[in-house]
Amino acid sequence: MQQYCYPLITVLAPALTVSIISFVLRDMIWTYRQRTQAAWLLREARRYFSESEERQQAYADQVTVLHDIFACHEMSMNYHKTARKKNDSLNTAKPNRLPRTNVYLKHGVRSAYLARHQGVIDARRSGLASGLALAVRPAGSTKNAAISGASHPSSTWDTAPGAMTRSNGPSPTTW
Amino acid sequence: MPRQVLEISHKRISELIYKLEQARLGSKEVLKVLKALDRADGPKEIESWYSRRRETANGMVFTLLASAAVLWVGIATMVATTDRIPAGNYGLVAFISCVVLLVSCMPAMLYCARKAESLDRRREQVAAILDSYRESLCSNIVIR
Repeated sequence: MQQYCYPLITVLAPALTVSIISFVLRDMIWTYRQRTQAAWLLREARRYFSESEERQQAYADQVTVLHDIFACHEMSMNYHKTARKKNDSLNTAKPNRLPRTNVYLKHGVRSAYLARHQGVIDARRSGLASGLALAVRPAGSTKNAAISGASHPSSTWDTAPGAMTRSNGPSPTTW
Repeated sequence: MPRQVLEISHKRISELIYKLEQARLGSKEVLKVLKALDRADGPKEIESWYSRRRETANGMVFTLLASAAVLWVGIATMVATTDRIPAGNYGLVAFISCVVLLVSCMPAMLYCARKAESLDRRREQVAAILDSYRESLCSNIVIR
């Protein structure tokens, strides 16, 4: 019995030890990063809201802006994660080491906010992720119908063809 | 009046940012809080989210505790069967591996237990943030 058990334990126990230690370390690092990101984004948001410009007065609920800052940040993070998984060398040229490679550091909260609300189409050119560029189309803009390459003349999922519908916020399943 | 409304709005957002900074939440948690601010069922969602995370942390604690108990029994059996620390080709290595695994289980268990406690604390902080925001919203409506 011992001649079978001891080799098995010799193999399994170190593997389990490494798994447990790596799990705890990963969780600690993840928590630290999350806190750092939140602190940094809140600092940026505070700086943004401390400015008094007429543009800010146009938007009634500033919480929406704060929400958008965090939502855009999460979207950017997820985009980089997906790009890394796909091994896209172009998009992972600058891996997402926060906050250095975050879009807000390059362009500031104001740029991200303007991109979100004014529908900047060339967001990719200015450094925003393409996922964000898709999300920043303004409500009411039109999109191309799914004709080319499709087996049907237009998208069967459209309840209002041609209209760019927008949800109130990111999907809970996504975020 | 619009100037006053703007000032109130600015005060509200400043207070919210200050409280979020003080609570030292993660970015995902902050996003959850911000999403819950203007929803009627927001506090419930937050509550259930924290409950799920707490259950996960508690599950980890119980799993690690059970693993430690099994390891303890295994080590005791090893020693009891040979009346001393096992020796031989694999005996000593297996014994040391088990002891190291047992030792590594302890801090992991403590970490998970502390995490569960901190989740409870953070849930209370988030509830306070949501309540104060709603109170400021009510006072804002009264002034308007």
